[in-house]
Amino acid sequence: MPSRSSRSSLTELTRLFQKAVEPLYVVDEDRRILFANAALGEWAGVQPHELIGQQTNFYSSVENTAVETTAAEEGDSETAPLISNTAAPATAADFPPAISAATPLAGPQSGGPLPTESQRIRILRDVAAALCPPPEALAGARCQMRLLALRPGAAEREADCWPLHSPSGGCAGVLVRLTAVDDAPENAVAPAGDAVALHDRLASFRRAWRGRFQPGRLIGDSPALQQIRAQIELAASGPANVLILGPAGSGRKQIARTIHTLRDPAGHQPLPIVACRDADWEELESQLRGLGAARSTLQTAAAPPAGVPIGCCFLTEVEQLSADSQFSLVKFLAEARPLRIYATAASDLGDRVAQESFRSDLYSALATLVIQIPPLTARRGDIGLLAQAFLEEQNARGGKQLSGFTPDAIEGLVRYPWPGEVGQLQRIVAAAHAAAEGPAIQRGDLPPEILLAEKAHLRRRPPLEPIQLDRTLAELETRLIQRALRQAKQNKSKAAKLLGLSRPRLYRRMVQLGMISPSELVLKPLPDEADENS
Amino acid sequence: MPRFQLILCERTGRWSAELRRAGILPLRETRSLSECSDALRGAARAAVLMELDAVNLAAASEWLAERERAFPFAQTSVALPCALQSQEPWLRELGVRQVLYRDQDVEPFVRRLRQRQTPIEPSDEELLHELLTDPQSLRIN
Repeated sequence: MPSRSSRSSLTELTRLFQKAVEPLYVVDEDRRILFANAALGEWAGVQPHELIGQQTNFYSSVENTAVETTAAEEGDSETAPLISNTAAPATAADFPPAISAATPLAGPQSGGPLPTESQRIRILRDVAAALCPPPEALAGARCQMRLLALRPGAAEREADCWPLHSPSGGCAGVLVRLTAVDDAPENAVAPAGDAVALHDRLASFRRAWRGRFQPGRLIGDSPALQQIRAQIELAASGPANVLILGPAGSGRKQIARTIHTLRDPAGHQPLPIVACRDADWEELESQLRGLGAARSTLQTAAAPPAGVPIGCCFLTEVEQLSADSQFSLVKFLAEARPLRIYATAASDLGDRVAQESFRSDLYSALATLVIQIPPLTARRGDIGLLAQAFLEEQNARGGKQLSGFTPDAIEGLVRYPWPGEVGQLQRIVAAAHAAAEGPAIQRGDLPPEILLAEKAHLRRRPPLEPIQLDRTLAELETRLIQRALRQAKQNKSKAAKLLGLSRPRLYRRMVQLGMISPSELVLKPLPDEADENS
Repeated sequence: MPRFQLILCERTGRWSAELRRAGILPLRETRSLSECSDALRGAARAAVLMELDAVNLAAASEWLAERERAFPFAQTSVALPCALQSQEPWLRELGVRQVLYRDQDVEPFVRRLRQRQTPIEPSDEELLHELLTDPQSLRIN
């Protein structure tokens, strides 16, 4: 039992740590947080006491996107105008009430909604994950690591990890002190090694992954795309299920993920894909139930209140579901806790419902909001922009830098029928980028399939004009009747004889051809006919 | 070459032993992500099982994101250590269909693989994609 003096000394030590302006924390050998000072709480955006006891694990949290979102909100990033369109700029508002004490940006003071219990738990878990010292430190080596900002407005920090050794020589814990990146002593200690580099790489990849699904990535200014953009904004502003119809390769997944990113910019909610192609119900069910398992792993056992969606899922190619699976899915969705569903299907799903090969109740459940993507050939005006965007994507990978396309190369792309849609265009631009030698992609750099299609287009026979048989015959008949009338000096009986017709038939035909009006059809008897009748 | 086959990407050999024990043939073994991509180029509809750990998780994530674009009809599953269970939602987001943690997970994995290996005519979309990306894969055996 510690003596009074040692207790007093411990209190003094705690007070000293608490007062320190540098964020400090201590984890034990099992990676649980034993101590966290107020400066750490302020930097991380949580109350320090809430961190005590949290398990830290060395993995990259998907949610380390605060820097990106903050930049967007402050307008110093090209993504800013895109994010400002969202109905729920969630970064600050998603933080727990504890943050409102630490930062005036969040919580009820700012008018933002309070986070749910499950959100709060998730945020604490993610903060704890970000604070895990690298395994090298827990193995007893002093090392440094870089910590990304965990809340809007905070800066990156350098973490100096000091292992604390037990009498047996093992690691009893790690004391971590955070300093500003610029203040970190250069080469003071060895870097943690490959593991930290991989950790950073994963975090960086996840940020880049989220960045791919911004509305700005939807290239094109055709009316069809403008309508899709408007629908995306509408979908992002509410919790409705979204059904995205279009041909394969047209970017259906991109649109679903863009909506999801707008709904959840901080990335708190994963969007797992549940593939319907080649899947029987057993597999689908295990994937759908797996969502619950995954969520409970992430969010602990705390279940959200009834009515609140517990998660999202992304059903791809729902038209591939068998009749049995469709039935089971309808039942599952009716019984399960609310799920926010994104689904993709072929363009003709509505027709399949009409033909009763797809259940109408499942269609209704999925299609609260329907986004229809037209084929690329229906928006050829976007092809040039898309091609340039894909080319710049290739430039961004480093290596060869190309400025764009020559006009005849663009013409070749615009003429091509694009059976593989935008995905095929992307692959073709990548292939052309690899093949090109000049500063721009020329027609000859395009893959053979484009060039062959162009040659086929040039050699194509001129389109056959339709033959208007009825009209042609009518014109011919009119001319012949007119000629006979001229030769007979407008005497219709003689003209009829010349044409080999009876007089009444000639009249009827002239009416049919529009040469006389029907009122003239009342035939006057010829003088010789009148005599015969009398 | 059959339309469906399993490409295994692992370093340890643990999963190939389990799969062979379960009678999975043909099994194409690869030792790196680039080898795995090469194998997929010849079989765009193959199933892929990748063994992941903390070291290759980042690279594998990048590979999975790229796979979605380059090989959209390949069906990818991963074998994960239990310590990385928290990564499952993230991997599902990248299109992973099944996650194996322990030896017992091999049996359902194999069963589903066999179900998919029953001859299913590829859709027009799949045939078109194969033709555009890999004309060799459509040769008649």
